[in-house]
Amino acid sequence: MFKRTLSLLLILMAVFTMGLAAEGQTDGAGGNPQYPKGVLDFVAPGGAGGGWDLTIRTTAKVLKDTGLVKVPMPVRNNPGAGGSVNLASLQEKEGSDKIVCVYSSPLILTKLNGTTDLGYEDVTPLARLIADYAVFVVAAGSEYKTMNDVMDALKSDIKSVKIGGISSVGSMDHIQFLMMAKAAGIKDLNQIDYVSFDDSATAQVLGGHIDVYSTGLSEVLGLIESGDLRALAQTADHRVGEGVVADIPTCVEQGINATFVNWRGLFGAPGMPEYAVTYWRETLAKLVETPEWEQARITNGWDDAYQDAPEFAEFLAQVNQEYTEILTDIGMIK
Amino acid sequence: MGTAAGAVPLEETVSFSIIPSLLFFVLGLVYTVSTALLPEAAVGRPFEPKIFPFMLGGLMLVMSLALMIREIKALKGNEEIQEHLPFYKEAGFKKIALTCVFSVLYALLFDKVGYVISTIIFLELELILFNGVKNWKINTAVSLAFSLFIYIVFSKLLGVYLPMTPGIWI
Amino acid sequence: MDTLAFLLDGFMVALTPMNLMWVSIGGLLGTIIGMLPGLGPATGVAVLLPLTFSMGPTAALITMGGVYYGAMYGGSRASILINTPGDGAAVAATFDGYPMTKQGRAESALAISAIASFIGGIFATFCMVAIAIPVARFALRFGPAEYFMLFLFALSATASMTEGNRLRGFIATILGLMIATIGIDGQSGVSRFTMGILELQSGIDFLIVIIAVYALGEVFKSFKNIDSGQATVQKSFGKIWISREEWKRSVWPILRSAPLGFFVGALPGAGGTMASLMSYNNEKQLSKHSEEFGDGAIEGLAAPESANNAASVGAMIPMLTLGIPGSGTTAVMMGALLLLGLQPGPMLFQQQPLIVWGLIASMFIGNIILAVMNIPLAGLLVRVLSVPPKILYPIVLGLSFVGAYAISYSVMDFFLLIGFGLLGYFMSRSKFPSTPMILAVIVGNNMEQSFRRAYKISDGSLGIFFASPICLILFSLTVISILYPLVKAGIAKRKTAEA
Repeated sequence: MFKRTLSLLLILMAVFTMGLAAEGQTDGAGGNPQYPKGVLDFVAPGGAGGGWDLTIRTTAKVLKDTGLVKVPMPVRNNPGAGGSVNLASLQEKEGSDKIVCVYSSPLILTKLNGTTDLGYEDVTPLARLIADYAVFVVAAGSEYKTMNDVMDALKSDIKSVKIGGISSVGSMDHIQFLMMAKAAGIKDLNQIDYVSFDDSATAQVLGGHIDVYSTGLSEVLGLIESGDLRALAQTADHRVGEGVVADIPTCVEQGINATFVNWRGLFGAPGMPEYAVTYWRETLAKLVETPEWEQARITNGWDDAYQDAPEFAEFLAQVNQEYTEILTDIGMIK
Repeated sequence: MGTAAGAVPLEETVSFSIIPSLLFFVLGLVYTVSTALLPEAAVGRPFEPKIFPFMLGGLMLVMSLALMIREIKALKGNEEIQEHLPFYKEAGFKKIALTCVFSVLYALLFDKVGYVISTIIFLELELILFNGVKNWKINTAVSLAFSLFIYIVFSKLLGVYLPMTPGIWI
Repeated sequence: MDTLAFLLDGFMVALTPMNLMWVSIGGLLGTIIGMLPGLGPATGVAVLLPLTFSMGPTAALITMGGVYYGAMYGGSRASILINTPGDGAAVAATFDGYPMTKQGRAESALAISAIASFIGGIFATFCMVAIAIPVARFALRFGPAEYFMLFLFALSATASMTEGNRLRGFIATILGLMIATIGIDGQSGVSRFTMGILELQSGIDFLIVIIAVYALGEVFKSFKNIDSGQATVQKSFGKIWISREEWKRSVWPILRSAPLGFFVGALPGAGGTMASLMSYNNEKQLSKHSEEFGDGAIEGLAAPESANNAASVGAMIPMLTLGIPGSGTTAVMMGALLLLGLQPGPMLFQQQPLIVWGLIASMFIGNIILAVMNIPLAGLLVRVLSVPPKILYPIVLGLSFVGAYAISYSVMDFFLLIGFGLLGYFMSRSKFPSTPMILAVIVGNNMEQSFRRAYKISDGSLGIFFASPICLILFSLTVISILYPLVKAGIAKRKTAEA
């Protein structure tokens, strides 16, 4: 009886998920004798549906659709501790030519704030692909009209403005605000009240529970368009997007001389063989030129931020320096 | 309040009633000490991350102590204590311990040999525990069917990653 | 009247043969995914992500909606039959659903679960059509202080529920809260009690604790019964339906729980787990048969089932009206919307009315299809009970481990699973209730963090917790939930004394 149930279930599953299965079964044996051969291992260090997950799935899809990579690229999620769990498991796969994973600012921050001992030196950068920028928003009825209003209020009373963001103290949403505050000349950075939320603080800023929400531009696009939220500033060095988004001034324009880029790039395991690195550098350089990639970027609201591996490595070192300074200022690095 | 303790069957009033409260007391102690050893926060008020854990530790100490006193009182009211089995001689204890050992083995094998093989081994072992060695035919059929079924459903149909087994690419 | 016209348009969209097919496929897929431990609606929707690339936005959203409700229907199946909840929202279904199965009433349990889910889902969809915008606006008034009070209420209600055993109930609660403090503390960045284990930095997933305590705990307990030959197999199966008497007992709990579930679901971050547990507590306090709760009371199953489906509909409100993900599942759905080139937010209703109303109409249709589909499906599933326990329990073990792996993709969780399984066994052996511990694990971190958020926002003044009417109401409810059982017991005592 039980077996019948089982087999029935199996048949049902099989019938109704044909479509899904067909997706994964496009064969890649394409007859290429060199690298890449077999099945690649694409990794999102975060959960399904998150930013990293979307990035790597989109990349894999465009690579496949454009025929740039012909072998299967199944995406695996390896979440935990802001990507640090994956970072640790990468160390066990040293020298692998199969693994390609996505990372962004937390790759550097998790080491600096002490979550892990591993950092950007422990992976092989392949290319920086895209960027999103920080934006600081307030509720439509807020008294703060510009970024300088917020900074002035903080200067006269450091506790008077409550900044909210996703994820804990010392991670991205917190740091990006502090970098602006520092550039605006605020001294007691560690006295600024940053309130950490788990999922989204959008409802909290709409409801007036926090004053300023420090987040990513794509996170609050809809509410900026509808006028429920007012964007005080974004952190690119240029105006981005179109329509309402293009109207958001940069911090630099408002006299706060700092930028913050939430870049996303692809990385291999430490000690990735030379031939694999070369292959990916060439392939990704071709990828960013394709119209399919441009379309995917626009759909997702990602800014183009392509950088080849050598420049990317330099960029990482420089970003590391900037984050270290801020975290030292607030005493999280001693 | 005495009713609660009185409702517990007599054979369980001795060791099994004091030991849990004792264990929870020790846990409260360990927890409180490790709270004290936590680093101070660099941002905001330095003691903030410790307040809530201290409250929990303190409450645990008080409550487990209260429970212990209550159990001891109940014990005194019950002079005639029957002999009873220590928990490690109870039915099933050995099998629970073995299940834990098998699970550890499963965890160690999981990434190394892939989902299908490690699961076949684990289930085979568990089925021997439950179903006996002499039913090995059924055991093997069940563990094979289960591992493959789950692997296909999760990994192939739903796209939920499970460690690949070398040689199996359906 | 505008709304009705839009809804009619929505039905035109949802009733096209293709979309009908999608919602059915989604529903079936969701039901199956929901039954597997560790896989809940969020995974189900995520699984569909790659597929949505090639679907139209309406079809994709409708299919995802189908998967979402399907998973809510399916989630409680495993809770009822093998004491293995698939996700948080299905935990409450184990409290009375599994005892019913043990008493040979699995058919009634499965039937009432489908019926209650259906009523909860349909009711909430009506609410959604009528009052989505005001509810969304009202939910914005929940700040950290209000959330703290809400979590406090849920926790105190559960802890004080364990009658005759209050001290043990409180100890279990504290233990759960301790478990919840493991991981990085969001408000300070300090990592607490992680013992240097990286995987513990982001805390212990409550699903692991749930699967361990319920499923593994049950397996451990079963050894004793199997050794002594007490384990039995159900051989004959009745029709999947309920008696008039059972319906009478369930109807009010179902109707009371639906609005509660709908509203709690609409609060971002509260979700189906909270909704079902709160409705369970609520019914236990209101019921005339409260002593039967936990021992196979049918209303103890009907209420949370109704609430969790209503909550899954409610959770769509912040997403559709404001572009705020209200739960893990809607967060994934929002990701999908972005992939489809739609910008979730207040403009969605104006810019894409057909898609939104099509989705809402498909909620009505999906719920009907699922209810119809689930009754015969339950007839098949119930036969799992004819599998001898000697084989069923190892399979439950296998499912628990794969479920744990699917949550975090880490073998580390196997060790947690064993550890918490032993803890669960130890607790039930020494008469500590596990429910308060589970709830504490679920809400603990949020409760502490909400407190700290409020404390920061108010510059260290506790006044914020009593500043708003919502806070005051929730606080009074907390006090009542603690005092009510005492008063009830007092009255009962006096009655027996008089008699």
